[in-house]
Amino acid sequence: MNPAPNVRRRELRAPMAVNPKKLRPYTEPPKVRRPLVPNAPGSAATTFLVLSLLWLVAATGIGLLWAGTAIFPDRLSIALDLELPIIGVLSVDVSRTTVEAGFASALVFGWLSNAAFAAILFITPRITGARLENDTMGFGAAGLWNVGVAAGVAAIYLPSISGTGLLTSFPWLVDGLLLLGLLTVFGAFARTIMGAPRQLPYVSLLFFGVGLLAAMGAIALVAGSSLLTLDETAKALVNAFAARAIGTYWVLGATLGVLFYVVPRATANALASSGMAYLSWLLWAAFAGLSAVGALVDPSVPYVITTLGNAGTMLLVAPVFLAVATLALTIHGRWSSILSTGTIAFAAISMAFLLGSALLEAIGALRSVQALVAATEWPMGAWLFATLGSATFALFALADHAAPRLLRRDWGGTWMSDVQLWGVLVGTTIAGLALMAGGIAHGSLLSQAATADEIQSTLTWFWLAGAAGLGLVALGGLASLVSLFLMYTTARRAEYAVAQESPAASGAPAGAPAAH
Amino acid sequence: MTVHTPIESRSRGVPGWALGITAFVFLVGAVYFAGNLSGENPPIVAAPSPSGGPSVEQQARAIIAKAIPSCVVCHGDNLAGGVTNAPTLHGIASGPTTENLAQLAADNPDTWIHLWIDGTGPEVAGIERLGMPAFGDQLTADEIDTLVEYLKTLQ
Repeated sequence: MNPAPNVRRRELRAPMAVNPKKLRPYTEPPKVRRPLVPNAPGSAATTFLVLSLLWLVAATGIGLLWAGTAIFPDRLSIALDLELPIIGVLSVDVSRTTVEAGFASALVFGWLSNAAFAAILFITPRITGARLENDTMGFGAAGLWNVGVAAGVAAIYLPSISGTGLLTSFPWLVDGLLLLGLLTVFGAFARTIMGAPRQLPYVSLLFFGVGLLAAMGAIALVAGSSLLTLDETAKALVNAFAARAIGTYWVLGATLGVLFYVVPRATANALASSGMAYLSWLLWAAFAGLSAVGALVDPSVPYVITTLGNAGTMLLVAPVFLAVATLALTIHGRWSSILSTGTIAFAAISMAFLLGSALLEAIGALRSVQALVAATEWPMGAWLFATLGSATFALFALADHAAPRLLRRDWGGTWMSDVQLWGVLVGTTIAGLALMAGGIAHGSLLSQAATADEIQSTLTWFWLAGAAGLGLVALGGLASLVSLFLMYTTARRAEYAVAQESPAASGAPAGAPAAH
Repeated sequence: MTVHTPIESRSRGVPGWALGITAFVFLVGAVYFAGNLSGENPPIVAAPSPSGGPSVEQQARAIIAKAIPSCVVCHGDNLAGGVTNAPTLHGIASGPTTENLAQLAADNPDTWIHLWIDGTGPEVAGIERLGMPAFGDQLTADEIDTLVEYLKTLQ
């Protein structure tokens, strides 16, 4: 008997195991199963970007409170002991010193660092041509870093566990979390570069690499000094050195790295001179460390060493000048773009603040100026120019360039972007100038042996102007967050054009920015 | 989808004007360094007070500037001595640096600096002042206390 007809009958019956009504129609695309931790390209950078803008709003809010504690020191300061069931007595100290440390930490570790991480994770794959290794690591870093910063900013108000200093007030456990977060970002960054074709990395990557390593070193130094039994002077010296290194290496390095990427991309021009860019990086890497030595101001440190550090701060003008000159020459032919709110306008403002703050830091490093204003409001005014001015606008430029590409939206900005630009620009200028002028007035009053009440009443006017400026910055920060939300919710979806392919051929919307 | 496109460069060299300005910045740094080789740093612990008012160092500096004659006239800008025969004030937290004050410090270990600066009390009567004026008539007791607190931080 031939079995073939039976087999054929079984084959005909078998396929009816699935309900045909539940099958996906051919006209629908297949459903994508999303993992708990997204690993799509750019997802870690998007997470860092969103978190950074949330931190910007929080930091500028704390900044307003800081100005308030300077204007009304008695009304806005709180010192109390809380009786808690398990912990026992917990002291809380909300004063100008702690709020100032909270503001600085939220701004540098919350806003600027998260945005710098977003920049690193966004830029590295786009320069190397290798996919980020990998986005899951980026998510881990975002979790570690932001839990650490939130815990650290909260711990600043608990004197029993907090450290001291402007950027070194976190408990050692929090520093450990931050270190892990940094290490994870550095791991993703280094693995991506290692997976790329061997060549001299683009200058932005060199800035990011040294900046990340220096930030890890500075935070490890602070954590180590908390665990060792050092006297108060030694601890204060370590903290001052680390805080300065975070400013010169991490904040300034990220700013320059971002500008060197964003300006050529946004203008679609070639970089004016790679020689100037690499020379700028070399000089920055050398003098940023030397500048940190200038923070070692104590009789126990040889005078000549501190002077050498101050000279390093002055010499930092050279790499900043070279970088700004290179970028300005790169914008050549596209200067009209700065008249409308957008990436190039943000970058140009950042460059202006960059040069200004480098010169102000150099002036502040002079011994005669230090004698007058070192312990006044001046250093914070100059610091606002560097952080809320140059670094913030560079990262705004990055966000303006990267967010539509990460969220795949066709976005030309709204009046919210104007509020963001003008609010932060005018606010930072007013706040920075008010504090620097207040610092000069403060120093003069001290040299005239004025009483504390006289000083307070005079400085109140400067602080009122500073508070108004910080309020405008807070408004601009809020506008940037709203702008991102509007982009995600209202703009139409758009795939950005593949390089060397015309928008029409790739299906990108008309007028969409170039690829990358 | 995004792809890698390298950022091109128009030029690889460094223009002469950029090198010139860099050299000028180096020169300014070198001149500053050469002109500030000796001196003494102020103490690092002198941070602004939490209330927003001046720190102890700032208050003390103001008192020093207010006193006539100012302490720095004899003890030097950094109070390290060397201008006249006035001794250094660094390290006085651990005791007097001149013999004439040894007995005063032994009798009043906590207050001898205050008494010596004041100079009007019976405790210092008969001690050779070696040119040191009494400041009790122009400084208040609180001001002298602030000054003493600052002087004790000088190492």
